[in-house]
This record gives sequence, structure tokens and C-alpha cells, in this order.
Amino acid sequence: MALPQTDAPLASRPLRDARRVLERLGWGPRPGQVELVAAQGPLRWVQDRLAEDAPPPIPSSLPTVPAWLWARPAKEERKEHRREQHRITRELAALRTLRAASGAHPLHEHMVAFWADHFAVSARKPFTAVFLPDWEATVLRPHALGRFPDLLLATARHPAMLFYLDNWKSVAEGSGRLRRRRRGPERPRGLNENYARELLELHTLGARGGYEQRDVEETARAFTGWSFERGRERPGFVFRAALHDGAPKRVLGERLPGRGREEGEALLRRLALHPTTARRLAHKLAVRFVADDPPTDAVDRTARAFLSSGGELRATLAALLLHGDEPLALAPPRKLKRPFEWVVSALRATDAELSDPRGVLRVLRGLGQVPGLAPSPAGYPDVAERWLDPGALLERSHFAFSLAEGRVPGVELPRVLPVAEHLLPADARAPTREALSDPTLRHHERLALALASPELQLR
Amino acid sequence: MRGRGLSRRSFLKGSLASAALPFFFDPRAAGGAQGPGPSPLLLVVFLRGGADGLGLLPPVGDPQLARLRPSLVPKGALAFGAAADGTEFALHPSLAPLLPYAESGALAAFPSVGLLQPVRSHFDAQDLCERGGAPADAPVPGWLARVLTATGATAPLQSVAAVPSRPLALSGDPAAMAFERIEDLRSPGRSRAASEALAWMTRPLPGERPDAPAARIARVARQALGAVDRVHHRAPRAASLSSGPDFPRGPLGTRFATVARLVEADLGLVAAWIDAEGYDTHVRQGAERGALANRLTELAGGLDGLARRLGHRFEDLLVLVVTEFGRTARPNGSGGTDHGRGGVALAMGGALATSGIASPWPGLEDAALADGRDVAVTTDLRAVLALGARHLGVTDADSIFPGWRGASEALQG
Repeated sequence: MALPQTDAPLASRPLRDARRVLERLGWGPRPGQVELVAAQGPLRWVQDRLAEDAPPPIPSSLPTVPAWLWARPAKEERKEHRREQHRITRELAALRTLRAASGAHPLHEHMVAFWADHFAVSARKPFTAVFLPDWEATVLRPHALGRFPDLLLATARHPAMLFYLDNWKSVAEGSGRLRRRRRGPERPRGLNENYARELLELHTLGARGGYEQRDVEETARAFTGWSFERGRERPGFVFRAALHDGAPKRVLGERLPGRGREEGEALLRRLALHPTTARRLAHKLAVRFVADDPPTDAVDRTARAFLSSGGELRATLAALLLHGDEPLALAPPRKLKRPFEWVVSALRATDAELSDPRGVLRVLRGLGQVPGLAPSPAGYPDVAERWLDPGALLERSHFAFSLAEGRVPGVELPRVLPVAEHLLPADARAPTREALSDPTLRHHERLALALASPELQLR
Repeated sequence: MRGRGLSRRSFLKGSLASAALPFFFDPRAAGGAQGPGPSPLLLVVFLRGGADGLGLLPPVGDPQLARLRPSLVPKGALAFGAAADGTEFALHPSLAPLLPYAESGALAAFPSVGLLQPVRSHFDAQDLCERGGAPADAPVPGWLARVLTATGATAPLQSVAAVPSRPLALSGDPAAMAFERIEDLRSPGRSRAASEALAWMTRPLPGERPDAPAARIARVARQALGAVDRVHHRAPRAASLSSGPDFPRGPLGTRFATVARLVEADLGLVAAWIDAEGYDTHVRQGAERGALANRLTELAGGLDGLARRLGHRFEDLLVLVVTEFGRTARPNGSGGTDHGRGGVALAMGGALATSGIASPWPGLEDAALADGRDVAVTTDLRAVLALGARHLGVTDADSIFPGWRGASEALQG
């Protein structure tokens, strides 16, 4: 048996950099795309992505809130309602998969996924799914690369968030109607601090952001009365003044200005551009696009750019990715692709066509990351420590073989499969290149091995 | 690598021929090879979301309970035992399948366990529970991974998380594996050449930095192939064992069934982990019926099913049921409860040294509540986790829980 070539031809630097930006920000290269981006200039490609307009809004064929949500359903109807929720969740996950795999507006799509984790609203909670299409269309997508204060306000006012974190149920102690119950005595409604806590802990300051239990309670009182219209196909935000706690409130040592709804809005503005929030978002973005333990100076300058731009996300990302002589956009890949990113990059690498995304969604479920079904309000984790274990890699290998053998339902591969070796970076480990060089391997096996290789798990 | 003198094929042939065993096989890893004597088995069940201790194990003898939460006290709770101060506790009626274990001394409950830090965030609290006090940059972040490292139980399939992704508690154990069903443990390649190439790809390179990203992934992938090998060579039976009718339907039942099957197949399992989700009952928690009751029905069914399926191995088993915190003593405005402090832990197994209510009860008077709202923490959660460490043979619990001066106050398990 002939020895494999151990020295791959030295890649030119533009090719290397093109592969890196496509893996980091472009959901992985399609066949031939590395060469195109290398010719165009990898940094130029990143600048263009940062400058490009938001994509057109998503089609309005996505369902609105079904009328049954507002009715008290009979028992036999509930099964049908559950099915409808599953259908909505599936359509949204399919939309994300198709958009990411298409490669159009890749950075925008990355930021949609980023905010979908940061402001996670998960269809795992019953009935949440019905609010998600509008959440996706009017909150996540329009604001993905906009201003953070606008995004934060939009999340706080949207029925999806108001429902998911129970704020619509949070009212001033003893206010409003008594709670109707089917059995037992009526009880006054009261405060629910779920949203307030996550606002401080997950959406803005972070768990060690310097607030206390008392701040959580005062924040919860500031948002009493923030609710949504009932009985509408597109329920809007509504402030129910009668349910608002009118007593003065102090959060983080400062009295909240204004009255009624203004209190919550002022608090959101303050939290959105708080230096602790800036630092935390900068770190989170750096973890998303650079490394699980990103360099401190990069986090610092990203936080500064966030603050000085008033939370402009394009300027913030430019500071993170394009700064200096060795911009981090071109740094060697150090992030483990999460399951969704890896599956999408495998579809792109093989030039696969998705005629029906259900097969791919089943795979994503097995790998533990379906868009829209985050396990908690914290979203899906973003560090290798939480995704890298033997069982997970084995599952990825199974998918790599199914995909390359054309066994994933709803996925069509091109008649001429891409060359497996072209999927690998020039500095791939020797064992990876050697494994692919066995002449007795079939072409699709070689392709599967490349997709399952350590190198293709990285971005 | 330059100038290798060995082709991939000949390397594999050599290694496979020189040993009849698969080349990942580590004889120390096999349960039977540890010599005679007991083979302790630990299962940790983590109730995600902060289980309501007062609902799971209501202190029915505490006069404050009915005052604080009249709507949330389950009717028909099952008498369980008394704390040292005489306060009577009862099991939630959905835990009825556990009653026989309580009666035979195979169940202990800790009614006010928690973190010493006043943390009410799920994510922070779960993090603290799973790290067991280790700093964020500890070389082995998870407490259970440290236990397994200390006892040398770090071969494939010695530690398994029967959940989709590995919990932080097992992070740092290179072989700890997450999978929900044993059927998932098969070789991805259909041809021999593909399987061999896959194995070759995970080969360690001399001189390679172990923390290089691709090297790290290769190392973990190698553990996966080792596990596949073990199932294939040691226990082909495992893949065909029925998951049986003994477990509740749904994901939690499947997870318990997977643990039972791993034990039945004699694959050398030492520690298993199961997540049970859905305990964050902010809204309409219910009392004897409702959201919490449904979760507890699944939990009790899973624990009982596992105990039955293990047969005589139940004597080797210790199950710890833990959660990140308890919930508020009073209901919130939505018929649920919010994040609190002291919660409940359970220990179940064939060789418990204690049973019944096994830690002190702080009481529910207003002055005794933490911040005037939550059950106080009287027992460090790590004292409960240390029972698991001790069960697996770690005597020096301080090394597992850095900074914990708890060895002296450790519970008798």
C-alpha cells in the first residue's frame, strides 16, 4: 500500500483565511466558495457582511396565534392543539435551518441564532410555540444587527416573552380581579418574579452583575401590568395600569423615574447600556465568534465599542472581529461547532438540497439542539465543555455517514459528490489526512470521514 | 507527521492481532476484573428547575405549613418519618411506589439541603451544585468526574449520563458519555475499512499539544469508539435487552431504562446520571394533582422500576436525588412558587446506613425562614453528594469538594 502524501501543498494565505471566515461567520463553505472568497479578499468579505442590509422579512405564511388559544378547549381538542404547536415549532426550526444553509446573509443569521439563545423563548413550555412566529418575524430578525436597547425593549413588550417568563401573570399584590379557579376559593393574584430575575441575570447584567434579591423584587414590581391583548390573532402589548404596583421602586440603588409603564421602560434603557451589560454581551459575542476563553483585550474593546455606539451591534461586532493587524475574524478556529452549526455546515459542504427538513430536524433532536426548543431561558450553551462528549461525537459520526450515503430523508446530494479532501483545511492533523487516503474506501465513506473529522467540528 | 514507517493498515493489523481484545480495551475497566467484592454503583438524579421540597416531602407536622401554603399541601400524603426535633414528614402521594423502600430502610430524605450561597438563579445554582465548589477553571470541573478520576473509573461506559448532553458534573472525565439509548452505541461505518479509518483518525500524535482543539476532539472521539468496541465485544446482548415494561413512558422512563440495561449487560457501569426536567413550577404547581404531582409520578416510577430491574445489584446501588434549590414557602401570585433556598434531597439504595429523615429541620416560623420567604438551608448539599463519593470508595471527600470543611459534619449514609 502506498504511503499517503503527508505534505499537503501549502495553501496560500488567502485560501486559508477564506476558509476561516467562512467557518467562523458563514456557516461553513460550500464547494468552491473558499476560492471565491479568497479571490475577493477574506477581510473584505467580512466587511461586506457587516455592512449588508437586513434580509427581507420572512414570509407571512407563518401562522399567527390560533383562535383556540383564547378559548377553553374541550379535552379532546387539546391533542389537536398540541399537534398544531409541534407543527409551528417544526416550521420555525425548518426556516432557521434553510436560511442558515442557504448562506444568504450569513452574519445576520448568526445573530438571529445568537439572540434566540440570549433571549431564549422556548416552545418546550406549553402554548409558547403559538407566539414564536411573530417573535421571530418582529423581534429577532428585524433587530438582529440593530441597536441593543431597541431589541431589549422589543423583547420585553412581546407576548412571547411576557408569556414565557410569566410576566403577564405578575400583578401588584391584591390588585385586579380575583383569580378564577375551577375548584376551591378564589385567591388574589400577585407578583411573579420570573421575568424580572431573568431580565437581570440573563438578558442584561448577568448572574454576578451586582444586584440582589431585593432588586429582583423591585424590578418585578416595575413590570407589573405589562401584558398582552387577549383574543387577537396578533396580540399586541398592553399596559394594564390597574394591575401596576404604584409604589416607588429602587433598583441598583436608584429610584426608578417616571410612573406606570415609564418605570419599566426607563429601567430597560438603563440596563441595556449599563457597563456590566456591555461587558457581559461583549464577552458572550466573543465566546460565540472567537473562543470559549476569549482574549480579555478583545472583550474590553468590544464592550467599549458597544457603549460608545449606544449599543449598535454592527459597530460592536466590527470592534470584535476586524480590529488590528491580526483581526480575530482570521484567527485559527477554536470553537467547537454546536450541533446546529455542524449539521448546517455538513449540508453546505456536501452541497445538499433540502426538500423536506424533517429528517434533518430529527437528527438535530438526537444531537440535542433544535432551534426554538432551548432547554431553559438561558438558551443553548455555547462552550465545548457542554457539547463535547464521546456520545455526542459518535452521534455526529452516525449522521456524517447517513448524509454521505444519501440516507437522510428529505436531503438530496448532488450527483457528483464533492472531493472529500477539499473539505479539510490545509493544516489538518496527519491522522485525518491519512485516514482519508486509504484507497479501499468508497467515495461516500471518504466524504463521511471528512465530515466527522476533528477539523470539521471546529469553526 | 513526517516519515512514518508504518502504514495505517499494518498498524491496525498489528495491534489487533497482538491482542484478541479490541485495542481500546482496558482490563481494569471491566467490572469483573476488579476482583471479588462489592461493585458499588451510583446514580445521581438531578431534578432540574428547583424542586419544591415542601411539596415533595411536606413537613405535615409543622403547624406553619398549612398557614403558609394552604393551597399547595397535598392531600393524602404518606407518613414517612420524623426529624430529630420530632417534626413529622410525609411523602407526596405521587411517590407512593417509594413507600416500600421507606418501610424497609432503603430510603432517606434530607429536608433542608441546599447551597450555602444565597443563589436563586437556576444556572448559577446548578453550576455550583455540579462543580461541588470547584472554581470555574478547575482542571476537572465536575464533582462526579473528580470522584471517578480519584477512583480510577475513567474507562468508556464506567460513567454514563442517560441524557442528550453531558452534565457539568461529569465534565473533565474524558470517558463520561451521554446517550439516551444503548442502541446508539454502534459503529458508524458500515465497512471494515471505514471503521478502521475512523479509529485511525482519532489516533494521538506524539508531540501534539493536548489542548489543541482538534487533538482534544480526536481524544474524545477515541473514547466513543472504545465504548462501541466494548458493547460490541463484551456485551452484544446489551443492544437486544428489552427496555421492559417496568418504566414510565416518556423520556425520563427511557433514561432509567438505559441505566438498568447498562447494569444488566454487565458493562462495568460505576456512575450514572439522569436529568429530570420540569421542576420550575412558577405557575399552577398543584397539590396532590397537577404539574409537580405528574413529575413525581414519573420519578417514583423510574426509581421503583430501576430497583426492581436491578435485582440483587440493588444492594450495590446508591441513588441520590438532588436539585439546585427549593422554592418559596408561600405560593406566588400564579398558583406556583418562586426560586427559594433549602430543598429536598433523597438517598435510596440497598446499603444505606441511615433512613428516614436524615438531617435537621429548621422549621417554618417566619423568623426561621431564609430572607423571610424560603426554607432555610441547614445541610450543605455537598454533604449529600459526599455520600456518593464515599459510596464509590473516596474517603477523602475534601479533595472532591475543595474548600469544604465538611468531612467532620458529613452525613452518615
